[in-house]
Amino acid sequence: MVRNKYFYYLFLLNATINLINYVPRILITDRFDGALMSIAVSIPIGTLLMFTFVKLIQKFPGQGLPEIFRSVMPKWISGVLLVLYGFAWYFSSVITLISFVDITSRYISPDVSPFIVLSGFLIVVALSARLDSESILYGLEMILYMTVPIIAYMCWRVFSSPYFSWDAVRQVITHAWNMPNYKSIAAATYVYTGYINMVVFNRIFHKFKFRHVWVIVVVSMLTLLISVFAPIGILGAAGAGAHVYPAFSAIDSLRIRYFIIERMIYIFYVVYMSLSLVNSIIHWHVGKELILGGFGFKSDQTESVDKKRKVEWWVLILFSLVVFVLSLFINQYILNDMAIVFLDIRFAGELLLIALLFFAVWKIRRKKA
Amino acid sequence: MKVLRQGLIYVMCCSLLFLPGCDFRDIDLRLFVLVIGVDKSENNPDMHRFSFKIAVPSGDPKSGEENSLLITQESASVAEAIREVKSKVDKELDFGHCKGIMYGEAFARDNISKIQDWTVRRRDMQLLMYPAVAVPTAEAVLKVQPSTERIAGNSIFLALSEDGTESPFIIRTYSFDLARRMTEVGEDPIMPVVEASAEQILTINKVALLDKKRVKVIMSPDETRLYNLLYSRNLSTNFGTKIDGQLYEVNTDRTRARYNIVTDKPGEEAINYKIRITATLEEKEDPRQLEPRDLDAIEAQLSKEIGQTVKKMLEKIQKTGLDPLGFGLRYGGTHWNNQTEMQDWQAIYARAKFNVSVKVKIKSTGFKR
Repeated sequence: MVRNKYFYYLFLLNATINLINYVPRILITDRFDGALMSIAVSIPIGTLLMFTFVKLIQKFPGQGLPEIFRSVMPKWISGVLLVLYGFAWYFSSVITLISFVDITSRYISPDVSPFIVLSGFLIVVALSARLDSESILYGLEMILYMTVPIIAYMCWRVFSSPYFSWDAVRQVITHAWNMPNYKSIAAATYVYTGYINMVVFNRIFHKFKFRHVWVIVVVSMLTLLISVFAPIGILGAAGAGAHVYPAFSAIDSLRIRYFIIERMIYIFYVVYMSLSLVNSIIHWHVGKELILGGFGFKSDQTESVDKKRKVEWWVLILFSLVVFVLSLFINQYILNDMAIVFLDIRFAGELLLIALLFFAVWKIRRKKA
Repeated sequence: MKVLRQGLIYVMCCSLLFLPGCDFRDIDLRLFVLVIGVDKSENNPDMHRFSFKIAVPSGDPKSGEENSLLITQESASVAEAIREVKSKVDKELDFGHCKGIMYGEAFARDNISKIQDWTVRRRDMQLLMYPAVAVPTAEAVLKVQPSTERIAGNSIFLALSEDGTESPFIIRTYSFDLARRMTEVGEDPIMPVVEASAEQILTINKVALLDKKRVKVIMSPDETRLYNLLYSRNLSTNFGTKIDGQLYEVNTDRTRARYNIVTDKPGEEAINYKIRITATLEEKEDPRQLEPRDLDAIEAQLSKEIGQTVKKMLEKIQKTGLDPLGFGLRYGGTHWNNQTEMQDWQAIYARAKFNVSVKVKIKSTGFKR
């Protein structure tokens, strides 16, 4: 059983990972066409979604999504839904992993074959995703304690740099009154999506309570604003759109004097590699549990646990193979499009999930009555 | 757990196989390119003349035996030039420590955008390179070997960065800043000018103002210092004045320049500069002891003179139509009519008046009264 704070860690992980990955790129692409308004709109939407979800899942203490769906739906519908959700959640880690392999070969070691890098990542992720939920959360806690202070330091360095152009930021702010669009809202609400991991981790939460909503609002708002304005201030209002990884280019423009390494990017890379890996581990863990749940494996009876542990390998091998095959023929444009499609589908899927949970609550209430 | 442990041991053993990677070369098999120079070719208008200053790794920087090698190559593109240079050396060229790019004056007056794009695009080039205009040619500048140099080729970085000498005539800029200004609407690029003035001396005391891709104006050293007063904070420099034929020189401790753009009345737009300088008296001709009211007189005189020269410098920049201080971006960032603001600004900038108010405060007169 774990305490409430781990819920906030799950949120924080998803929020920090969004400082770099595809979300800033999508928002920066739309910086003159309603990105800021989309951010403004997505803050209430994201908070509301999270709040509703938490209220609903609290009605099912100690249960994961497989158990909930199974109790209120015919077997085959719940099976299909769970497998779909499992694969969707796994898909987000595919984008994270492939883009991180791309970043590695772009900024760190152009000479090393990307497949060796990817194999390394996959081994870590696949083996760790098999750990039990509690150990994963403890690992997450440790990684966050190590990385969040460094991220805060780097944000401070970006905004205090004498080359940071506040005029460029103001220029983008004057474009705030443009209409928001679905793509940017879907990207911006992704910051909140860490809560979805509760569909599996809810099993181990003890008397889960959701308090201090304002912390979530403040952190997510800061995350979104930093992710957009840090690259714009460093790379320029017009120039930020020209970079493939705006956050990495912005960090590459920082210099640390009087330190062993001169370029900030190496520290940044290590920080984000650990965050990306933990993020992928959690997504694989959740995806794996959902898919196994969809095929009817239960984790509470001893004889089926053994069988489940065996089938688990096959799921993880399938996951790894898919990543490998995808990385063979994906280039950066397909990757970006994939990220956009994923974010758009995910936003709709999140709304559907909440609707399904409403249905489940309603069904159970009717059963009782 | 046992499976996991076995798996991990297996992974660790396998990872040994990756260690002697065929693509990775050891440090003694690498040559570090430190500075790249680009000139126009004298014979062929389609070709450029590239110079590469290459450091030969040696053991001890304290011994002062630095070795560097200059290779020049005429080629149509920089990518081609590098491949051709690779066939002239015995070791792998490494650009990880390349920290300077010199554009020869003739080349910079033509169009730097092609090479500049390459420096940002190429993955192993830092965004923290120091770009500069080289006079008379980049090759001549790279040939200069100051005897104060301790590590091969680094004297030019020490001068262009803030690590080594701190001169008020040196404008500090990085390639990400150059890239930003080249695309930003309302802010034009600048670069320091490096001049090979004697066999062992590089003089860096001018700033070149560029339109979006070529050098338009090179300012005089005095104008460069005044530009630097507006461009950077806490510039340490000296200012001199004569009262009753007696010379007084002050040394600045803190400087700060701020401006706002006043557009209340159409046709009478103004850019108001406020400059605050705190200084100490460094040199005086008059042997008489100073009274407080003498100090007031010096302050008033200095304020008036600096104000006039800054205004003259700003008007000179205004006449060229360039905007190296980013007035246009500030105007865009404070006006919400995004469709028309830049056309408005073009008209306003041409007729705007400059009002410069300088306040010099002499805090001390040094050890003597």
